[in-house]
Amino acid sequence: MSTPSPTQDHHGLPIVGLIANPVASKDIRRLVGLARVVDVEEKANLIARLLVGMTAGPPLVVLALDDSGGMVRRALRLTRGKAPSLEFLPIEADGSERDTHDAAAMLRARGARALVTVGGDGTIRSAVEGWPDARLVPLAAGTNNAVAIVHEPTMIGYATSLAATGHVPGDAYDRLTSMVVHTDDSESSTAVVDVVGVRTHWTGARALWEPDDLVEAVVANARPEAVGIASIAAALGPIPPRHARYIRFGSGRTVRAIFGPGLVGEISVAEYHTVPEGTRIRLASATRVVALDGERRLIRNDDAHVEVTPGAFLLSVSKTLAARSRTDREDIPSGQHAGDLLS
Amino acid sequence: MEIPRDHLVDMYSTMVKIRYFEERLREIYFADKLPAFDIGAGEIPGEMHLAAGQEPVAVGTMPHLKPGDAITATHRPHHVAIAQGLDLNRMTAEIFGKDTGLGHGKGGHMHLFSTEPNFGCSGIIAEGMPVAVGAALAFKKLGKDNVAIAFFGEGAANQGAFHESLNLAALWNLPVVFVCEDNGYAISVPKDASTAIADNSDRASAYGMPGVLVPENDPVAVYEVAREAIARARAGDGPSLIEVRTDRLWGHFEGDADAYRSDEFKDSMTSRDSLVVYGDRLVEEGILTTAGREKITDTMHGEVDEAIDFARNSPDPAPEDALLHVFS
Repeated sequence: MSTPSPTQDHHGLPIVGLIANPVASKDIRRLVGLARVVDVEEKANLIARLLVGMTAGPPLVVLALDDSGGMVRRALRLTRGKAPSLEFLPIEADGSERDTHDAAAMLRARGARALVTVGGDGTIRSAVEGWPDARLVPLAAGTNNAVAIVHEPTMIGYATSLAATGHVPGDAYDRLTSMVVHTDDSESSTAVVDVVGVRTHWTGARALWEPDDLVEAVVANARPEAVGIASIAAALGPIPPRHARYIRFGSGRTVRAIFGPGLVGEISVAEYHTVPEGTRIRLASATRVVALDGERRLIRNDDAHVEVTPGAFLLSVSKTLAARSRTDREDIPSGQHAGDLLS
Repeated sequence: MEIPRDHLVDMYSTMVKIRYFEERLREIYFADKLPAFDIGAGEIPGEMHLAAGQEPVAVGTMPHLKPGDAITATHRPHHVAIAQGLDLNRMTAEIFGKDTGLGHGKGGHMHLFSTEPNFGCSGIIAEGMPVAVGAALAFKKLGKDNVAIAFFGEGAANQGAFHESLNLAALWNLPVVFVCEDNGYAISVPKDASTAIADNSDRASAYGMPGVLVPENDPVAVYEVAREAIARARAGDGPSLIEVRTDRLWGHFEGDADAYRSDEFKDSMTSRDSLVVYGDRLVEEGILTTAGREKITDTMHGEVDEAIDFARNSPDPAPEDALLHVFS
């Protein structure tokens, strides 16, 4: 594991960053599949439960993006004082993914010990672009949630407070693999779950849901139960840690795929192989648009390629809480505070 | 699914037509109303609400319509009317208050009505939604596979008619698509001062239908979402709500000082003007050449200029006909 980012405390307390995305879970997959809407009220409720859970562990302070949906503010009201001290970052959010990127970069600079995101895989991606080696606690509020943590947010909050304050022995975080896409000399973008080459010419409504459009994919961090392109990669066999899987779609082996919530189908895989971190993969000429973590994002150019690299760190809630059970509880002070808003 | 080239080009052509139409009307509207703004003076009397910037919502929806589908729009209707293919000459004549207009010059720019294509609009906020629900009910009762589309603004989503319409549409499983044009301002009231939630698409699930947010003012994004929503309605799977974040480049009405929006905000809209961004993209993708783009501009401008000439050369309604056509 590489050296973590330098940490600084805030008012003498360790910092946990919080970024909530109001736009997650609202795209076209509500129409083409059975994806649910996770609206602002529901996200605020998840955040409130997370914050309350944090008070079960040692004291800390939360630095949060003041999101354009007002979710964190709503969540604080819901907690009725049962939340850690919380301060807002000096960012005027406009609801774009730039908010997430900038907030993550700022939290890295402020020395946050963990970064909680509330959204989907795209939200995680934007956060990692702002903070490539972040200690991530991604709370699932998206569509596919291939990487995000799907547990009760109160427990996630508790585990976060333990991990962020170092009150668990051993390594609470698993290292992810990232995929960095280069489409020209100066620009690069990061994906955490998959990079997919699509034969259509448009980013359009962004989401991916039509198998006929797929040319190729590079997939990492694919759990067997993950939904989306990750389900195709996982169906081909386990992907070892610190590796990614390259897939070229076309005539060949037929694989059952769960493309999204309520979207079951099959897709043909022409070839696939597993590559270690450090590998560089040139994208096929048939790829016109590159999708990152389920969203069409980039226009391909002749030199477009993907680099498989070491990525951010993902909190293991179960490892953290299992370690807690082996620790003398009297040694861990509770962090329950009045929900002070410091600024 | 690849989008047909002719759809891509038609969307751009229509956007060019709409934008030029709004620019010409703006110029003509103001010509004789200054220095002290006299709303009744000049070639185009009365109010004027222009839709420059909101073109993507209209052009992205229309390629999926078929003859007989019903459209209702708002006090800001020109982009929707043009995209649906209303007779441009008669539409322009109506705006100029001429007897050759769609309503014999008696409805004006907020009350454009047509039977073929099936289009209506109104200056009453949210009025079009119950009307669209009624049209959808008729289609269902008559066993037709037509759909109704209701365009409305984000301010209208706080009107009772919005909630009543969505409820009834879902209850009776009607073939209607509700399209919210969120330009962030209800006249001068910013959305966060009027609406308790961030996105009106969130309201859809409360009424038992899917809601989708299109966060970008992009005709292709609207095209993809509208295609699915309209196909769903046409297949008998019921209503849905689409919310598009769009840009109203100018004030709420012509004569509006628009002082409630900062210069920085207005500059940001100009920098992401969908007409420019989309046109550039078509050229980059090789779907249009620069010469082709210019030809579209010349052709569309010509059609608009011709419609304006038609309107200007049309007679005024006769005073003795004042009570004709205004009662049903």
